[in-house]
Amino acid sequence: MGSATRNALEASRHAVSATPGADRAAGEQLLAAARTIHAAPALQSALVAEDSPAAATMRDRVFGELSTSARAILDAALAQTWSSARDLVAGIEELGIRVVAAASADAESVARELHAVGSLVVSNAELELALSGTRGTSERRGALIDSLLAGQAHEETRVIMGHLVRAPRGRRIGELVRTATELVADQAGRGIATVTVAKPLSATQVAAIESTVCERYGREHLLVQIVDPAVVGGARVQVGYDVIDGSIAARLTDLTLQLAR
Amino acid sequence: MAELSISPDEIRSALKDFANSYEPSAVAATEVGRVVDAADGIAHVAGLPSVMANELIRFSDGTLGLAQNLDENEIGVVVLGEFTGIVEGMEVTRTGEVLSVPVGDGYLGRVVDPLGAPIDGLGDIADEGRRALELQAPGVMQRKSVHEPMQTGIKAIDAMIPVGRGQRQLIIGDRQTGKTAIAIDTIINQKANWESGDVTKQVRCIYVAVGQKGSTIAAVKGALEEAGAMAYTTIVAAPASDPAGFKYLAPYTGSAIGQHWMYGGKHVLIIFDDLSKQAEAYRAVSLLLRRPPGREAYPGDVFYLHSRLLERCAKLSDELGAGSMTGLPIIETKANDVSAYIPTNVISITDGQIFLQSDLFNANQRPAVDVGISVSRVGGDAQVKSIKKVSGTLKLELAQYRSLEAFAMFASDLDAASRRQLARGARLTELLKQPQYSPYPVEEQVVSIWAGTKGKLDSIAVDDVLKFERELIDHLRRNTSILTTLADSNVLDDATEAELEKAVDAFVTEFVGGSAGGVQAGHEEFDETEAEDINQEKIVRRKR
Repeated sequence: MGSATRNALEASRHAVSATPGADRAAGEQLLAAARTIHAAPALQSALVAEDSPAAATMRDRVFGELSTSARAILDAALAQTWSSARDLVAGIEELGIRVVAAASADAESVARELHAVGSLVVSNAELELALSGTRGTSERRGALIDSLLAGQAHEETRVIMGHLVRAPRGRRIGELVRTATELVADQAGRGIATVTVAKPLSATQVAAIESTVCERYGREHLLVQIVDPAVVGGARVQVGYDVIDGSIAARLTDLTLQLAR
Repeated sequence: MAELSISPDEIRSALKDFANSYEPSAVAATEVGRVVDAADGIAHVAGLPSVMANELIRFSDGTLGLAQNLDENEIGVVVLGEFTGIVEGMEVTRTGEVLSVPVGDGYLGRVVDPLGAPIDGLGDIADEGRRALELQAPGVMQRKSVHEPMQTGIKAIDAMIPVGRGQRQLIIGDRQTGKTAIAIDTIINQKANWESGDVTKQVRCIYVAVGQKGSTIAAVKGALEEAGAMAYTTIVAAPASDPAGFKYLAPYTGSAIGQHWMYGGKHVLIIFDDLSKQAEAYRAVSLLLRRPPGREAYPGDVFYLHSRLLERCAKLSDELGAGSMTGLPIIETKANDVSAYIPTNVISITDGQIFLQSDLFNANQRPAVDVGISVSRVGGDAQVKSIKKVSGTLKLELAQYRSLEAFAMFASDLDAASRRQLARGARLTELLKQPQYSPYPVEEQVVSIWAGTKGKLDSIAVDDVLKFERELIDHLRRNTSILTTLADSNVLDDATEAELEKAVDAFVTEFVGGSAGGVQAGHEEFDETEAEDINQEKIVRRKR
């Protein structure tokens, strides 16, 4: 990611909060627009090229059916300078996810659901393979996710997951869902702290960890629990690339490595 | 006395209290990353945002890696060790320490790998601390000019291409021309210094084997052990079977171990055998890390790779303890081409070069030093006075001999002066021959070269020169005190020279040359078989 992309993303994020009436439908339209741009390399190069009356006409023809708010956000993004066409697609996708999250009444639950779906998919090799970009058409993958989540999850979760499996853009599903979860949580003003424990944590323990993490990183974090008996005891907390590992499993691994030396 | 009894309940409650009183120790936060891809000893890792350049990182299976390319989204890691166990998605943690090796006197007599771990099966090494591999060389004010001699024990080198302590002298030549032999001879020649117990004389030696055959390293170790030189030598071994990352690090490990001694005021000799293989390993690593290739596909910083390594060889100022580190880098050329990329680089960095010619080697001139193009830019100041005095005309005479020799190939008859010069040259060349693993002490070199340049050998047959030299030195040692005087004073004054002249002249008259008492190669020493001795089987056709 170049510095131009970073600046463009920062400016476009402001557009999300500044645009009134950006609802879930607008988010869905943005995600669909990202897929359209991704599928047409000629369109990508035309969009990142210089502004001209011809480009404006082309935009009107391609994105004419978008709602006013979606169009406003898209135009704000297109007005920025992006390092590459790939970054532009990724940027529009991020904006779409942010709009969907912002429109949700309970973004935290959506983030938790996304995380749960992500771990479910990763833990089931068959499902992961079916949802990866190498098998079936994007529509069939979308239909598979829709049928899995119908009635079980928030509509926002279904929209985001549906988009991710339809346009994985060469990334693995686990990585995709992780990024999306972080975006949804970030839109709700939270970071993600993943806690891996052997037994489910009690409410007081959760609160204790939440306050510690908040104190340490200066920001509220959404606590995502993973129960894994292999941890044996203790807990492992991961925030971004930082890991605080006080688990028995880590101690045992250290011991094994020391003995092996 | 009442019997001591503890009920199980008491034990249980005591254990319960013990378990309750357990306080988990504070756990520090570490940074993690994930392997994105891994191939050919290189892994790309996403994450680890605050990793430092050259930091050691640990893969979750315990394998270590070296952070090299710090890119925006991922880092390029050189895997140090077995890389078959590294898979995509594997967790990687920072260790927070920049690559360093343990150092200390415990390393003497040991064989270690480029991470400083012993590989000779003699157990752990007691270290005196650690030293970072990528350290800056001493600065201008921390140095002093090279002024003490580093005797190689080889007549041709000590007389004409002297090496001083703190000098970087390149040994360059084709394969199989005796490059390693010179280095090993130099190590063996430090034995007397080591046994003297005088720290100002003692030289600790480090032999860094990069990309060598395992058998070669074993042979070097065997030769050093046999000569009793292993006691003051460390071998850093990165054999050909090691991954490229190890091969590129080995010279830095050797120099870190040496620098520790140098800053402790001691003298160190380090041999890099050889730097062309290190450059090749670095090229492999760089290409796999997708750094742009330059000339001969070497990366742009291959000059810096060698210059920063060789700059660490220095003579330190008196304030810093006056220690020194002498570097003998070895470069292998292809078809005697010294103008290739790596040879020219290293020639320009070092303070001189010893050039070994395969033609000379094949002509039985061993060591095959080509004294015409070998130079030492700083060693002259460090040369022992006595040998400096006798070798002054040697290089000139050999140069004249060589030009005359080329001329004499076409001339049928020459004047007496030219013939004399040719004869002198042939004897001097013969005198510079020296077998492997037999270094000469300075005083013997002085006598030998003095006899050659003063024309004392002119009456001796060329084939007998080395025999004469051997017997002369033996004679002087038994019958005169010249050698001990020379060894103690290191000066050839007029009185000693007069005494030497008298002794040599006397010896020349009584010397018996020729093949007397020995079998000469190429000479038959039995009579031809007579015809009647040969009883040939004949095939006779029998008549029926």
